[in-house]
Amino acid sequence: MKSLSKNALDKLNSYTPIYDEQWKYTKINQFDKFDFNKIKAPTDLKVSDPLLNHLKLENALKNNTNNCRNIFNKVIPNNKNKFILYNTAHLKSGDYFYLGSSCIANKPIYIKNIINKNDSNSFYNKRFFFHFDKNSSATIVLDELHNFKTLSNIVYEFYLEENSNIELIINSNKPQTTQILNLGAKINSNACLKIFPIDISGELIKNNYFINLEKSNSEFHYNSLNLLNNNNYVDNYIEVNHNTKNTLSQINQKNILQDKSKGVFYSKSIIKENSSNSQAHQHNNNLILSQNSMVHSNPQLMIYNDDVECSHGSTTGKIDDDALFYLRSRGINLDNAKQILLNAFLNDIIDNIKNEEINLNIKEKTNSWINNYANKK
Amino acid sequence: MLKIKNLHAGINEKIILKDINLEINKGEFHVIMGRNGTGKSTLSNLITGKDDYYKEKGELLYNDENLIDMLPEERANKGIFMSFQYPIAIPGVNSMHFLRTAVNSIRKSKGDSEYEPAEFIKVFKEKLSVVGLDESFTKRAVNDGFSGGEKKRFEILQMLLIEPKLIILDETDSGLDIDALKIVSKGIRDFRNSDNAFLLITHYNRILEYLEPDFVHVLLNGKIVQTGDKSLAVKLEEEGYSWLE
Repeated sequence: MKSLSKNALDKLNSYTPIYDEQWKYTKINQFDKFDFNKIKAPTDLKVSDPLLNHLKLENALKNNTNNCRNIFNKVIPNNKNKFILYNTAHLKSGDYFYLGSSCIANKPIYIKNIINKNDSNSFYNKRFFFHFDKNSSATIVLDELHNFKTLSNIVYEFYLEENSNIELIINSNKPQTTQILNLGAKINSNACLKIFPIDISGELIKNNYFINLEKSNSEFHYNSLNLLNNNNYVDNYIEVNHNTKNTLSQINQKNILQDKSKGVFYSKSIIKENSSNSQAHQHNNNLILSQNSMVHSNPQLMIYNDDVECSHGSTTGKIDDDALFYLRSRGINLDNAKQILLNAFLNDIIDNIKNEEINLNIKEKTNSWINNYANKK
Repeated sequence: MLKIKNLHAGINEKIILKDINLEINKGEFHVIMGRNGTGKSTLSNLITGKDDYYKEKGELLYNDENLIDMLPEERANKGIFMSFQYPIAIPGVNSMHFLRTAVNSIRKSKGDSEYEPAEFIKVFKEKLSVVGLDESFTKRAVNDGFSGGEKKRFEILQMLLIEPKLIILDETDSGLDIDALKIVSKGIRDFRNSDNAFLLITHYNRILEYLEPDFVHVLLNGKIVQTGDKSLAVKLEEEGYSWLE
């Protein structure tokens, strides 16, 4: 780990910032308040099921558990931004998760990362490494609840071996958090990663997703919700590389914005020359509830092969007046009608989560956010 | 029940209805016919309270109350219902859940007890069969992916569940095949009683063969130019509107 950190530090010292589209809408200097000299001890994590093997990253690397040295730090593209290098350079601890070959989790596995301490301006440099071995399958819920002001530089790496099938729900509620998340995934043949980032508020959140569909018949599904109010700011950049034939990516993001909040959706799916018979679809829908909120939407396809199926679309608007009138003409009052329509807008994404317990839990949260919106007016 | 006196009204500053006079009493069935763009839908949207429609002068009273000052939901709670010409699809909103919310809102406003979910499923399924829709509609989103005919049947199903007093049927017969027309007409006929009233907007005499209207009015250039009985509709179908100009 020390040599990795040193190596990253050397790279960082000679790092020349390149213009990269992941920073098109959010200026990198907004994160100048990150002070890597003030790294706090990591928070306590709770993993609900021992089936998902959880070790200190340091120990896993030391013992080369499941050959993790061969893949660790290779899933996330280090050259993409300096915060990934910072993360590796200042790596004092991290967490390693492993799901063994043919391990099938029949119930969801919860990883709870809740910061309840009022440790004002705490800075966390967090690193999670997930390794899913062949034929494994699980639904993992990453509960991230920060009740106080925190700063975080987070790197998640997901390595999916052949035939693994992983659903990851990132359930995040961090109203006062400033965060950069860099998430990398490598997906091998016949493996499928479905992620559901649910961001309910966030002071300044920059999420970068770098996905590599490495082998044939690999799939990536991204279903995300952002519910933003006050001065919340969330920027999602999703880059998917279709590195071979028969690969599929499906990006779907819905945002509701109120007050003075801002959102960014920027997805880039790159279909390389040798990716025949691949599919890439991108959809972004935004509902703007106030005059002062705004969203940038940029669903982008870069296609270097003719034998592919691709689509992209984006809509931004207010609540449909005709739908509101229809509901009101049936005796439903204005506030209630708005709540029904907002919930319906989100349910389209949430209903992709097949586990009923998680599905209902998310709906409860989004519904409570919508009720607060209705009550505030 | 509904009294319209010297009504001048329109949409977005454009006057469309010019001096309308119409009185609809309990137990009556009125029909409005007329060319496209003569103001038939303006009248129905004004009665139900759609935004952007406004009254310039005259009176629009429902049970002696001024309708213009009421919100659309208040009008619905007081018994006004419109079967839409183009019912809007609302993906993600379950039909049955939507209707339970609607029916319960109206029942609550009247001081009646609200339906429990299990109780409502039973009533909903019962009415589905009356309008010839199958039970899959308990799981479908409001008008989402419905055919033209299914949308109109679903409007009538809503009428049967909400049990309104003044029912406006805005081209409910358009887009229906003969079987669907019979089913929809039967739904309307069976629901008709001495305590409610209907205002049907239509282009065709066909649906009137199944319903027994008391009055047929002809709307031309924003005015009611002729009122008669069922035979007027037959004459219009044969001769068109030019003889009225």
